[in-house]
Amino acid sequence: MNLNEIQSILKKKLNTSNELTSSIVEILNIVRSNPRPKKDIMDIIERDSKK
Amino acid sequence: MKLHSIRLKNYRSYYKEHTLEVARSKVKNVTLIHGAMGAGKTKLFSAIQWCFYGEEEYDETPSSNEDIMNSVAQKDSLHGKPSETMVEILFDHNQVKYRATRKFQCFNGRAENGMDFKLLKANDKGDYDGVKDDDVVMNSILPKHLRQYFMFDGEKIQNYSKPGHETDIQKAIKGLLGFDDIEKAIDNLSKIDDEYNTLIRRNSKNKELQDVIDEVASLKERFSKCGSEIIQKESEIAKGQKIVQKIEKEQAKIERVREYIEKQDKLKEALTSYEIKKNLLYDEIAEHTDNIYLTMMTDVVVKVDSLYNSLTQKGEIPAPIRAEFIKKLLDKEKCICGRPLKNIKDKKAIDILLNLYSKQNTQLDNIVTKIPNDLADIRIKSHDVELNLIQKLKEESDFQSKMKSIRDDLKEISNYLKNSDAEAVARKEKEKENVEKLLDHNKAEKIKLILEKESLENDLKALAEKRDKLLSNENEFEDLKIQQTYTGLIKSTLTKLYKIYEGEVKKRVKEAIEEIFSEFMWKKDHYREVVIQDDYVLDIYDRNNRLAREGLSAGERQCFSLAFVIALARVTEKEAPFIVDTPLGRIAKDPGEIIDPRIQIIKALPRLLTQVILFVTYEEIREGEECDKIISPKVGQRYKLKYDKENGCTKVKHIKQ
Repeated sequence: MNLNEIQSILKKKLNTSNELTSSIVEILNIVRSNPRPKKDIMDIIERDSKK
Repeated sequence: MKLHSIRLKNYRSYYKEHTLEVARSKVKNVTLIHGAMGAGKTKLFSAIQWCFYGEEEYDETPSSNEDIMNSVAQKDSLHGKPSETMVEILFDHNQVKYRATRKFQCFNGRAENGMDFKLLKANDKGDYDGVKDDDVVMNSILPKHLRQYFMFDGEKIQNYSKPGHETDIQKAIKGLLGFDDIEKAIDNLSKIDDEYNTLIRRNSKNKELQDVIDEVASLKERFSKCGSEIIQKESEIAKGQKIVQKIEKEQAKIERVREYIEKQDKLKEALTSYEIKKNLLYDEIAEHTDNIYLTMMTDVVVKVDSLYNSLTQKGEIPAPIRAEFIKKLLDKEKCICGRPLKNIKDKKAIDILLNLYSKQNTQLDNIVTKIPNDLADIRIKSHDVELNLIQKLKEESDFQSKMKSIRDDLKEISNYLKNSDAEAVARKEKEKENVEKLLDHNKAEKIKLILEKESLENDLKALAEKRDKLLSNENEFEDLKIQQTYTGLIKSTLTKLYKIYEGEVKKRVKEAIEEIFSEFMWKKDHYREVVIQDDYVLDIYDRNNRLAREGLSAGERQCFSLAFVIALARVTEKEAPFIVDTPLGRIAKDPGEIIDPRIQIIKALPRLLTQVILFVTYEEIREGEECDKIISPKVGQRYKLKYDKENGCTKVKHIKQ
């Protein structure tokens, strides 16, 4: 999976905001390397949902 | 990733140590490993996978160490000294050199359990240092589950273009292109959403909201169960299909056994006929050899010819020429010095000339006069003898090479027939029927589950809306509501992203297949467009806009499947060696086809890939024939594997280029 391409689809084709794009990219990075990513994803949601 | 060398010791049929260098230059990027059936090609192919991943074949039950260790080496260990089985591969990846080694030992005829894997990385000085988490690093260089797209059996690859291939195609594209990560993210977000629901349910006093949340949880549970059951059914279907394929392969073997026996008879006949022809040819060669002395006279003939010419030019020999010479002088009334004879007062000189002219030809003169004709005769005969002899010797060499090739084929067939168990396979027909029945049942169950899942999805949507409405009236849980909304937003965005990304990747794979397939194919105008449908059915439109996959010949199917695998490697931008066992195994030129598909494949592979290792039988690529001539300029390393009758092991012979 090419994260640059994912970012480009999010911004150009789905018009996703910068905040949401960066949350998603961060989540995809976490699932790639972490076998149990739920807690880390929840931290991101808690942090970014208030923005 | 590019392989440099493979060193194996006491692995399967490889007794003691053998090292094979792998071609890796841009111009010569092919390593060709020739071997008759049963010579050890597949074992060497498996050794590469075993070294990297500890498994010989993808998706197969791992073999025991007892099976892997060479039986002769195992016996050797009975004499007190332990034997070692080892495969070591040197390779580079992203400009860094690595050394992967897998080994185990055998004591007193018993192989130890487990094995030792080491991955070492070269430092700036060229020494090798250990790597932390060897297996993990190896897996990151070329993931274990992706190796099947770089190292595979050419005969199995056809499955990608056979009916029922969708699951394999989907698995390949999703696995290679990282869709798993997006799926994993979506799955985790669902779990997080559940967790928020549980928290709200626990803290809310609204009974209706609690009931809706409970119902959502219950439906979700069934929804997820449906998902697992579908996966379970898919796995059972895949397993069943695999069993059917295995049985069909065995049955095909029976068919092949019959074909091989017929072929064996024909080859034996051909060999006898060549023997007779060869003996006749030897008689002809002997006849020509009787006259070989003529060719030995060539030098003498040339010398005599030149001497004769020089003398005749001077008018010295033979007598008739001399007479002719004098006659001309007398006719012109000129002296040899050019002055007119009329002015010469000394009549004595004229008398001498007249005397010479009137002198009769001797017998010797006649013989000498014939010399030029005789010399020409000898020259023609000697030339004929030489030409005939060369021609016959060439024919003899052709006969020898044809007979050698027939003998190789016969040996190959004999090995193959020795290993076949036709009766046992025939009994499996009944088993196949039962498996197919179960397959049909599982397919029907899967469809039921898919329908149930779709209905649950709709119910869940409606309930989620109801829950959101109820929740919006609640004044508490503000933070939780925001987080849950954000979770939903990320999840729905990821779902949309998945669809777009999947579409783009499919498009890229499709374009790459089209490009590569056209490199393989000779009927370029016949096929118009490749298509990967929504359910991952891979097909191709012909110029009449008809789906044509089912009508592809075996050769075309192989080209199509190869194009798919190479396209995947290209789209993922993963550089790895392309290692194929029996790449042309089942391909033959169809009657009526002008072009041999084997040649198309052989031409295209080195051009399309950075490193190619081919394990071929003598039937697939025969020395001196067209396929061999085409691939030879691209071959950097060539080996021959031979079965050693004495110890039942494989002999490796490096063929100098």
